[in-house]
Amino acid sequence: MSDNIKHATFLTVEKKFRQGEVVVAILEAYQIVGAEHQNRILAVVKSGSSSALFSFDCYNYPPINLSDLHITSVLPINETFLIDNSTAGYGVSSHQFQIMSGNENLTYYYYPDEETLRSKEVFEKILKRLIQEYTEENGDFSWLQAYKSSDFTEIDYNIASNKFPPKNRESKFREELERRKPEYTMYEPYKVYCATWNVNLNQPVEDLSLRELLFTTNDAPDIYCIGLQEIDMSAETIIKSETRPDYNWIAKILEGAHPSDIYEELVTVRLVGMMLTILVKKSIRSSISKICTSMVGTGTLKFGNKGGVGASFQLNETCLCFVNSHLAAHVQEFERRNEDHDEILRRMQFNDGFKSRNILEHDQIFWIGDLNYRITIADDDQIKMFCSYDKWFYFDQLHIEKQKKRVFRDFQEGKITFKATYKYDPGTDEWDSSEKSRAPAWCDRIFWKGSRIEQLAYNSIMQLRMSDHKPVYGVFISYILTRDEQKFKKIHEEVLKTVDKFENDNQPQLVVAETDLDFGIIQYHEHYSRELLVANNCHLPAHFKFLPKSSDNQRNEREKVCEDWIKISHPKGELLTGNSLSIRIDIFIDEIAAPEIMKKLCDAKTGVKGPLDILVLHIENGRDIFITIFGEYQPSVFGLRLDTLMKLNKPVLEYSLKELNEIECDVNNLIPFYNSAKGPREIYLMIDYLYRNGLNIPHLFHVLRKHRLSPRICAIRDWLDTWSVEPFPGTPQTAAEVLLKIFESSPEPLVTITERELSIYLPNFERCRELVQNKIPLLNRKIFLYLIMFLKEIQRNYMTNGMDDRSIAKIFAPALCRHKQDQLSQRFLLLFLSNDIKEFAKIEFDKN
Amino acid sequence: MNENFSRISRLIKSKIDDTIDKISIMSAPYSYSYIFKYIIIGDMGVGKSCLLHQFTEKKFMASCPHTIGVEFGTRIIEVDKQKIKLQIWDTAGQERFRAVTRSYYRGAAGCLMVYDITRRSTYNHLSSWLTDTKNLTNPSTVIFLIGNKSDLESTREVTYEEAKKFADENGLMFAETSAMTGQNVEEAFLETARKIYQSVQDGRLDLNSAESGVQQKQPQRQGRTSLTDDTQTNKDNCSC
Repeated sequence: MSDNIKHATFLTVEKKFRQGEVVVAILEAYQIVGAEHQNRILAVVKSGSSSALFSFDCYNYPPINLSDLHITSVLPINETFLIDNSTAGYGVSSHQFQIMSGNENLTYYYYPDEETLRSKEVFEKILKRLIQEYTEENGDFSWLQAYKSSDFTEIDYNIASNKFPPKNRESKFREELERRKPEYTMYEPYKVYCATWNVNLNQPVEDLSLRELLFTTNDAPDIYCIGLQEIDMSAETIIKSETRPDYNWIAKILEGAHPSDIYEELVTVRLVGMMLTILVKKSIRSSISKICTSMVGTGTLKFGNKGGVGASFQLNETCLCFVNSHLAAHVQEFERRNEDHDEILRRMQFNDGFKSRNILEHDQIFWIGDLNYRITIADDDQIKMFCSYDKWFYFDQLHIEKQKKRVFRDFQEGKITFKATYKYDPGTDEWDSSEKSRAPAWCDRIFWKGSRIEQLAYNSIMQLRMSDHKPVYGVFISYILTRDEQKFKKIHEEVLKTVDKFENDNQPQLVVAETDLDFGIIQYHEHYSRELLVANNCHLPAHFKFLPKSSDNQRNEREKVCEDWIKISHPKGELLTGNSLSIRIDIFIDEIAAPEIMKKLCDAKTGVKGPLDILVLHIENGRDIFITIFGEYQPSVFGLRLDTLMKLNKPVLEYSLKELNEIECDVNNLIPFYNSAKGPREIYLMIDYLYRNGLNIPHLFHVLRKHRLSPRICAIRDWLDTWSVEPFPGTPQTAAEVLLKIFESSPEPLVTITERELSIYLPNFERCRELVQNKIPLLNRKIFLYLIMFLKEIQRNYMTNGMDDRSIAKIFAPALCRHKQDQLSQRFLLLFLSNDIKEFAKIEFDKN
Repeated sequence: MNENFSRISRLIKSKIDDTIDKISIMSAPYSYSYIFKYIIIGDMGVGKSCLLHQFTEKKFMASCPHTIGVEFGTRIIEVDKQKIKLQIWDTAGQERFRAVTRSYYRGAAGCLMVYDITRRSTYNHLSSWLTDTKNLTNPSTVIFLIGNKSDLESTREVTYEEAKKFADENGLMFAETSAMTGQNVEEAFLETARKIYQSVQDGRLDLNSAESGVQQKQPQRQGRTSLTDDTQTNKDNCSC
């Protein structure tokens, strides 16, 4: 972070706070959330005599506006506040630290550039000073209330911008329950008894009793943690890396436990000579869960003659870890011991099948064992004289290495008040008298790490003489976070309610400008469009889509979102917070839609002004909005039955929908034909016009239907619908197009012969003529023959208009027959175009 | 021999304990065991949305706009010490939406059919609502008839006795409620759930069928993707 940016950031952060609240220091950091890294700005803020650490999510970096910064955590700097560097190197990165305050425990990472490293140092120094300055009297943190956020509806930009999915109900529930943990938990004291003994290959002989080691207190301990070393170091066990627990020793341990309570072995883990056994009072067994063990062999061959074994479990709400280790031997090898220690820290992982945690990821850690650190002083005899640790303190390698922070960083040890535990002549309390005459040392030690642990005793047992080591024990009161079931039940209920509310409040919401879209008058072949403005004003991203409506009669073909003649520009999409979208709804009634909409309107019987359609706008995980499409369809000659056209005695626009419907439904032809011509007025007008003006136009009819969308068609529509006396408003090409459209838009095809029937009778002209006679109603037959005669005329002018019978058949077959495949209908038309039909037509035209 | 035995039993015990720990993590006690789908139907303006709001938020919405679509609310309740998540779909009452709202009936375990005691027309339409419900839901769907706005006694147009008789004749549960005061609202939703739960217990409701409107704990599956979602699942379940 360059100085300029840092200064600008500082100013922005300052704006987040009120008067009297002073930003003392900021640090650029990041957190790892899921698989992403998120920018954080940490700020130390002082108000009066109390101070707090704020963690901001940095939406834009560097932050310019206030809204770029969003508080993720507020940690008061009080007695529970701790900044911990010890996880560096054992976690993801060596550039990380942990901040603890109250029940929060957060890991932050920082960038390893020089600038940041420097500011991190300053930052840490300031924090440490503030921690020291804290006293209960000046700890008024009420000003922090203003920054506490538990409001679910607050905008989280990561969610709003769809970077992260919103939390689901279950994880929200867990989070809420976790957040309120202090309300239903309390610390309860448990007695933890640790003992370590290097047994120097001795077997647990019959007359051995561990009572002397394990029964030193009046009250029965709740947990025993017994670590043994060198229970068996034979070549065989080393090569096999023996891990089977030694039940003889476990039996001895169970025998030796405090007699006034009943214990059971919780777990034992062994690696070659090292064995760790955890006993617990039977009465607390049910409060223990997630038991796992782990072992790490160290040294060059990693056989496990040296290394560590560990056990991890959860007692009520606290995670405990016990480690028994046997580190490298020999006076000068203290560096190897440091390495062994680091290797165990690094490699020991406890995996309960769901989560893997390392040693430091526990609330309380007890580390015992033969750590093998010696006393470095030239004169061995001098050491043998000593009695008190105080005197030799400064020569104890472990003390020296720990001071240099090379080993057991942030662990604690009780004051040593007992004689060195190594090395004795077995069976005696005499120092080693062998030839090697090893110097005495405090090899066997007990360390702990974690809050709320008090040591009650730390001592060795001289009376156990079978080994060259004396055993060491430590007694602790450990405060374990425990759930108050009654309070928990109450808060559980409350959280359920909050989460219910959370779920109801956290439905993505969209606002639509209007739910009724009125298209006004809708005419055949005109384009209409309306905008549906949709906006996301909620704090979540919203995904929407238009849902198909399943209709009443269930086995309906495919389910449609809307009528075919309605087009939606965005059938689905996504809207982020604050965004809006204009969805365009288009209506275009073409020749296919025209009869459909007529039928729909006649079926609905609700009058012309009823809704044309209802769209279901669905918001994922939220509500559905109904968008009603209104419009008044103006019937036209397009879309009506051919016999209806024959029955109209005035312009179609002068009919009401009801009247038109009656005529359309008049299948038995009770209503007389108004017009006695060969076909409807509209067809006659088009053909008549084309006879006079179009026969010589090149490609009057064209496969590509170039004039399909010509605006003149609307003019012709009006001309036809109003029986206008004005001159024809179209061109030969558009008249040709309209002629085709009249056939295409009629609800039924002109030629009512099926493909199957054609396949039987083709290519015999006589048989096909019979087919026309028998299968096509008289009116259609007349129109058909009339049309064919006209088309023959066009064909006759092939030299000028370039249209042969094949291209004519190709264009008219789909419009007249509407078969799935056009080959047969084309051949059928060709047959009529190439044969003489004059006589046939004459007979038919005379029929009534 | 004896020692071997105790060693083995100890081993087995520790394995079992481990497994129990793991299971208890997986099926955390937080959640719910069932999801019941409810729909609320009835004429426009009888107070369907207000009933839902009163039930989920325990508040009365004084000015509630007409529902133009389908709203969605949830609440977790307890029946027989079982946590049940009610997933309630509040439908638009306007006549013109009738055809569209019909597609929401399918797969409802409970149906709250609401009329307004101060407007006889809303009561008169009940038979048509009932026909829709009977046609579009399954026989085990619990139908609860609600006469809402019981706080407006002075303008009452439908007597309790008359509606009670109608309910009895048609095998419906019945109560008069007030979404404003909250009177009987909780009871109506809970009674319906109890009746559904009873059907589940008696085995009258087939949990495997999507049509039943009851799901056994599948917390991941929130919301829905399509109105026809239920049919889809049903097709998948079909063994033919």
